[in-house]
Amino acid sequence: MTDQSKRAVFIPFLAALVFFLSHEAGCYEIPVGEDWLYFSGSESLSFRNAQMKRKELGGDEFIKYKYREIKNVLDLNFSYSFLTAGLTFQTNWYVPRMNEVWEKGLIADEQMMKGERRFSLEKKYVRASFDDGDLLAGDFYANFGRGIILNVVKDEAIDRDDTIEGVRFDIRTDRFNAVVLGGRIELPVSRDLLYYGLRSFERKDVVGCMADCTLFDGFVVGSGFLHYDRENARRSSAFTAEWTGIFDLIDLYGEVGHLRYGGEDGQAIYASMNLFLEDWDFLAEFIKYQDVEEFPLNNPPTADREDEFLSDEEKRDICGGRFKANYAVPGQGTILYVDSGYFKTPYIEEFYSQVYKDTPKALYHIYGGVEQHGLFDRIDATAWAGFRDGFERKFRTESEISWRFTGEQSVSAGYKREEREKTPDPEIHEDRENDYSVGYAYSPWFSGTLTWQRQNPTERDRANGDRDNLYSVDLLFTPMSDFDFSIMFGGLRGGRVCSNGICAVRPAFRGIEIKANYRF
Amino acid sequence: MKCNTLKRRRACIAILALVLIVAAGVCFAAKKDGGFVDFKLRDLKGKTFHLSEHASEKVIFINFFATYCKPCKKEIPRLVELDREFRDKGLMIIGISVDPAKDLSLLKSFTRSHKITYKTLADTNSRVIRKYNPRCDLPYSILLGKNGKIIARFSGYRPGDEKKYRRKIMDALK
Repeated sequence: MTDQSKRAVFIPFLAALVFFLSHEAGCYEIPVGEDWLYFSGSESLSFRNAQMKRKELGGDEFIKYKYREIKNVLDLNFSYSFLTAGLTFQTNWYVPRMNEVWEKGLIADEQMMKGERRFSLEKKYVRASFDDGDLLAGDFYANFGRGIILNVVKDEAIDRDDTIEGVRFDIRTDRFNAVVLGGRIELPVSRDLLYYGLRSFERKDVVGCMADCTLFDGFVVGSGFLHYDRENARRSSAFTAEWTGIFDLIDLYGEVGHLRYGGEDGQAIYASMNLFLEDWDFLAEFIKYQDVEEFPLNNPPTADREDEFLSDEEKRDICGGRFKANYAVPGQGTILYVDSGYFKTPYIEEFYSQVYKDTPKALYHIYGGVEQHGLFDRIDATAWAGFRDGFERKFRTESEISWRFTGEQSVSAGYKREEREKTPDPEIHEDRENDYSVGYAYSPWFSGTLTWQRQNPTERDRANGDRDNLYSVDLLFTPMSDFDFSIMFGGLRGGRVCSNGICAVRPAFRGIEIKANYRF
Repeated sequence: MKCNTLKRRRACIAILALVLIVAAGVCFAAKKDGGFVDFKLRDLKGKTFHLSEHASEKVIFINFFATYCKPCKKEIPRLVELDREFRDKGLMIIGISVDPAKDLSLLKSFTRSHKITYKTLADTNSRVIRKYNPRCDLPYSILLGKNGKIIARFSGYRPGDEKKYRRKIMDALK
């Protein structure tokens, strides 16, 4: 394909952007027959010129490479009578070719390896809605209960956006909900997507059904069944019970799951209790998982504040719980909280014996903090600190304050510190990091943040180009309510991002990223 | 569908271009207005909320948020103030959490400690946010007029944005 035709890929997007920018923001309404067709969407165009550093697959060396990427995402939504439809087009243009990096031993995105450019219809669906339910064909997210057997979701923090491609039929009434679904899902072979760049998929069949019923006001019971991956005969089932508003004080929830893969069985129990008093509220959660396989089809509750320790094993084998207490100071906009957890798992000993001198018998965390909203009608502030003895022993603290000095203008400052215990392997842990940030915002037009990250790289990391200080600037302009434009440049530390029970290691970034988003 | 071959890529590009051209054409002829998209969701007590049962009576402000979203935490106390100020004047504020299902117990604790006075619904599989905001930015709010149609959309939150909300709400209530 010639350079000219490659550039042509973006012409429709640019034309759409220019066209919609020239119009006042809003959704479109078109008469079709006796009804109206509603048309809306969003257009996002970004450019990234960056130096990345990733670990070589199967080795200890880091590979540094520069790349430029233009990415375009166009979402279109249509609604007509009882029908709604959505399309998401995505185009990536990589310069230079990512397979140059591949030749050096890095497994990159499969599509990147094949060429410079990728154009795909990432998501599409059509939904027919009725009074008490709907029928959908295309890509959809799905979950049952708290996610022990099914939780297919979008999570940008860890670059995860799984959907099932197929058909689902939902019934929703005041007392009865049910869904029957069937389709295919792509299962990532590796979960270290960002660290290694590995992204190879297998497509597996999924069929399932779930239903819940309100037996009396506040009391709901449900059950679900899922069959996927025919080759390995994976089946799972779960039962749920929820009782809310007991004496207007207590909410209870329980879920039991059974998962079978091949000849193996996994069991899962999750239970939670909320207790609400005048200005106090308490949350207690309990988990007991035995050989529970997770990701990507399910995503069981972790009961952990940071969700960091459950993702490194193929099977979860853990028992423990969490207790959280909040106190809202009456009439002050102040919230005080404490969050603690304690878990036992067999593989923690195996892991710790390799990296620490003294092997802990359990994992625990304890955090405490305060949030202050609307002090003197101008100040918002948060501060918390905590310690955790998990896969990394660490102390963390974070604070942020913002002061609105006029009706529209505000300044903010933030500080984060993390201290980790040094381990014998210098490549696994650094020992401390400090982040400082200052920001200015002028509502609704502009906001900007300057970030300074101080770190303490090992000699080996220094030799690999890591710096003690990293600086970045992030600017966001909003000239119209439905249009924003952002520029981020400088350096950002790579590191572990944990979200919703799944962690990924983001590569360090040095370069510039420009984004334009428009909703119409 | 992934377009792997050259022909399929060209076909995809041609289809996309056609879609955009047709869309652009009809947009010139179209009346610009907000679409009404109905939904049913359960609140945190398990009761079903049906938007269309309220859309014709009140001006509705829908706020998509999550417990892990820092700007959302700053915005919520401002929305509570707006709820207090305009509730009796015909405004209904609805918070829709897009927290994952596993965090629903945490969400209940969050709504209580942040003294959220308006109705909170759970959109655990992103069914509703996808209709209004396919990119799922947070926080994200929409204002529906008394005819149930979208009259304003707000993405993100900066201190002071509540002035803009107040202005639009007052216009809608007139």
